[in-house]
Amino acid sequence: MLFNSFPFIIFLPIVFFLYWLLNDKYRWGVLLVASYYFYSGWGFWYVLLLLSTTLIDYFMAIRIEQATTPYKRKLFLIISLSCNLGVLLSFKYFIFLFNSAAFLISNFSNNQVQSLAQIIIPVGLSFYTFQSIAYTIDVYRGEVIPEKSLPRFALFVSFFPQLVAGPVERFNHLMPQLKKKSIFTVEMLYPAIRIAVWGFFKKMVIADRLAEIVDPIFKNVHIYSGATLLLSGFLFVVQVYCDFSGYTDIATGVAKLFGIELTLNWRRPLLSKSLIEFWKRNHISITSWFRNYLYIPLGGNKVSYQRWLLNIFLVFFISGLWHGASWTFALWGAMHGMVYCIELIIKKKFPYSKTPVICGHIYLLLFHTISLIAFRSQSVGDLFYIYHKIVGSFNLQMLPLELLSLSDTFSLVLNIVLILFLFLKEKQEESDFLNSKSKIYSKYLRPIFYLCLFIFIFLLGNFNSNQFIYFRF
Amino acid sequence: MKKLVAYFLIIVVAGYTIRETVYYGLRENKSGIFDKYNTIFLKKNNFETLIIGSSRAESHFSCKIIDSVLHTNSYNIGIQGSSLPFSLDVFSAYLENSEFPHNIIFNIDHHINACDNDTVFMYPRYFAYLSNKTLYTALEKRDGRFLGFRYFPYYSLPFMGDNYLSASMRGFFNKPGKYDLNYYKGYTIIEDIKWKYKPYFACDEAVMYDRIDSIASLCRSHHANLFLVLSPIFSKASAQILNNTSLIKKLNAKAQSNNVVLLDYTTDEICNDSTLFADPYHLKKKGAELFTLKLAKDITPLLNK
Repeated sequence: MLFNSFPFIIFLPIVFFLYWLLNDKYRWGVLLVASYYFYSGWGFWYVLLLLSTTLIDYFMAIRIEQATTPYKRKLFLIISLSCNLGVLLSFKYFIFLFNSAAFLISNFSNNQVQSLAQIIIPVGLSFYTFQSIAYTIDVYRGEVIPEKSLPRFALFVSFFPQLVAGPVERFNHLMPQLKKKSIFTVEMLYPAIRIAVWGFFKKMVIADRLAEIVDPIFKNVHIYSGATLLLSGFLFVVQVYCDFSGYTDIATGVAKLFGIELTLNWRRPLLSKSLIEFWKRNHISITSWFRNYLYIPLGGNKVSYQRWLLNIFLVFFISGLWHGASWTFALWGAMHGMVYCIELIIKKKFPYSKTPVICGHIYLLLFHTISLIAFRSQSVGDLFYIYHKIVGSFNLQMLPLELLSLSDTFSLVLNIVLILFLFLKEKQEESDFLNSKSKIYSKYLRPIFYLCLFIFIFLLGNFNSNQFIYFRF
Repeated sequence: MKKLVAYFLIIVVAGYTIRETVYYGLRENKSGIFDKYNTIFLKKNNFETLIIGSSRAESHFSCKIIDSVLHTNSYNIGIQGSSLPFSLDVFSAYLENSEFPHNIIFNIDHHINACDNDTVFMYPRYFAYLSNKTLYTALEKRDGRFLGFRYFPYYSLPFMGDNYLSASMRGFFNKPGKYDLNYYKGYTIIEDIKWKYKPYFACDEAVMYDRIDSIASLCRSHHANLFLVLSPIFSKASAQILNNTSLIKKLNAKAQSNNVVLLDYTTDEICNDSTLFADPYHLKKKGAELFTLKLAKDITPLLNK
C-alpha cells in the first residue's frame, strides 16, 4: 500500500479512529494488525519473510541475554546476523554476484555462463533487516534489554509508517514510545498534518513532476546533449531528495497521529557546503547505522591515519552497494568515499582555511549531481557515456530545444518555480528569516502556507501513484 | 476543535474557488479546443449547417469551404474520440442552448472495430461544461465518476494537470496556444500519425442503425436536411475491413428506409492518394479541403431540390 494511493486514504482514518477509540492496552495491537495488513498489500510471501526475520531476532536476542558464556552470546549473534544478512544477500545480491562472476568467466575464459534474470526484491527488506540487525547487536553489546513480548517486538520491526523506507529506528527510541500511554489532543494533529502535507507536496508535486523529465532522459541517454544530461542529473538530485524526504515526512506525520515521534532523517542536505556536512544532514538514520554497526567495528578513528581513511572509504563503498546490487551504485559509493577522504585530508592540512559559502554550495551541488548520475544510470556503459558527453559534447544551445521536446513551456517554468520554492522553504527552515516564533507567523502565515500547499497538491500533483524510489532498496 | 472545523471549511471553500477559477479561464478561451467546447455546450448559436461526428468529422469538413460553397453559416461539432452514440449526445447537448440547424452533415465511422467503444475520450476536457445537463447525463451514463467530477473539486482537480491549467491561464490572458490557431469554427487539422495495417471486422451492431433512425426522425420533425456521409478512408485501410461491402450496403438500405441521402466517399479517388492522409482514417489539411469542396458541390444540388 502506497502512502500516495486511494487505499491508504481509507486505511489511515480507520486505523486512526480504532487506535484512539480503543482502550490503551489494545492500541499496540491495532498498530500491529494494521502494520501487517499494510505490508500484505505488496504480497503474502513478503509478510512471511518479515515474520521470519522477526521470529529469529526475537528468539536470538533473548538467547543472547540468557547466554552464560561470551562464546554462546557470540554464537547467537552470528546466527541472527547470518539469517538477516542471508535473506538480504540472497534477495538483493546473489543474482548480482552471480552475474558479475558470469561476466568475468565469459570474458576471460572460453566458458560461456548464462546470466540470471533479476528477481523482485521484497519492499523495504533492507530497512527492516537493518533495524532488526541493530537490535540484536545492541542486545549483544548490552545496550538494550531484549523485549519479552513477541507481538510488541513484531510491532517494533513492522511499525507501518516507517516499515518500507525508514527511518531505521533504534530500539531504545521507538519501543518506549510504543509502550507508553498516550492521550489524544486535537493540538497534536496540527504538526502531524503539516509535516505530512509538506511530504506529500514534495513527493507528488516536485519529485513526480521532475520524474517526467528525468526518466525519459536516462532511458535514452544517447540522444541528448551533455548540457541536458548534466541538468537532468541536477533535477534527479532534487527529485530523489523530495521523493525520499517526502516519504520520511509523510511517515513522520502519520506516526505523529499515533503520538509517536520518528527519528529525524533529513536536515536540509542540499544546503550543505561540503560533503562532510552533507553526510551529517543526509539520510541520518542509515548514516548513523553504518557508523555504529560497520565503521566502529572496523576500528573507527582509533586506528592508523591510512586505515582510518580506508575504513571511511569502505563504509561508503558498502553503503553504495546497500542502495542496490549494481556497479553503478558501487561507483556512486566509491566516489563519495573518495571525495569524503579528500575533504578530510584537506581539512587536516589546512585547518583554518575558509571557503566562501557560495562556492561551498556550488561545489556540493555539482559533486552531488555528478555522483548521482552514477546512482541513476541504467548501466556502467551509460554512466561513462554521460560523463563523456558532459565533458566532450556539452552543447548548451541544444538544452532549451531538448527540454521543450520533453515538456511544454508552462510545465518547465512551473518546475523551475517549484525548485526555487523548495530551496527557499529549506532556507527558511535553516535561517528562519520569517521568524517562525512570531505570532503573525504561527497564527496566520503558517496555516495559510499549508492550506496553499494542500490545494497545490491537488492542482499540480501527480496522482498516478508513483512508487517511492527508496522502496526498491 | 473549532480551529479544525474552520480549517476544514476553508479547504472546502478554497477547493470550489480554485476549481471555478480554472473553469472560468477555460471558458474564456477565444480559440482552440476550449473555444469549440464553449460554443457547443454553453453558447447560444444559430448555425444553419452543423457537422456531427468524431475526429474524422472534426478534421475532414472545412467550415470555410462549406460556408463559401453552400453560402451558409456552418459549424463543426465533431469531437475527437467520440463514438456514434456519443456524437449524437453531443448534438443533443448542443441543442440545449442553440437553435436546430437547417442542414446536418453526419459523418458515420462505419470502420470502427470495437463495438464497446462508447466511452469518454479525454474526459477532463468536459469538466468545465457539466452545467450543460444533457452533456452531464450523457457523460455520467458512460462513466459514473462524473458525479464526483461535478460535485467534488478535490476529486476532479487531480485529473486536470498542467495542460488544463495552462489553457485556463491562456483564457485569462487571451493568448492562443500552440495548436489553438489550427481551429476554425470547430474544424481542425491533423498531423502525421504512424500506423500499422491489419485485417479486422468492423462493428456491425443494431445500436448504430437505431441511432441513425433516431436522428433521421429528429431531423424530419424539425424539417431539417440530413446528409449521412462516409468520408474518405485510405484505400489500403478500407481493404482491411473484411465486412466493408456488407456494412455499406446496410447503411445504404438504412438511409433509403429513412429517406435520407448517404454520400459514400470511401471509394473516391482521394482514397488512393496516401499523401492526403495523416493516417489511414484522417485526412491532412490538403485532403480535407479537397474532400470538403467535393462534398459541398455534391450537396448544393440536393439543397436546391
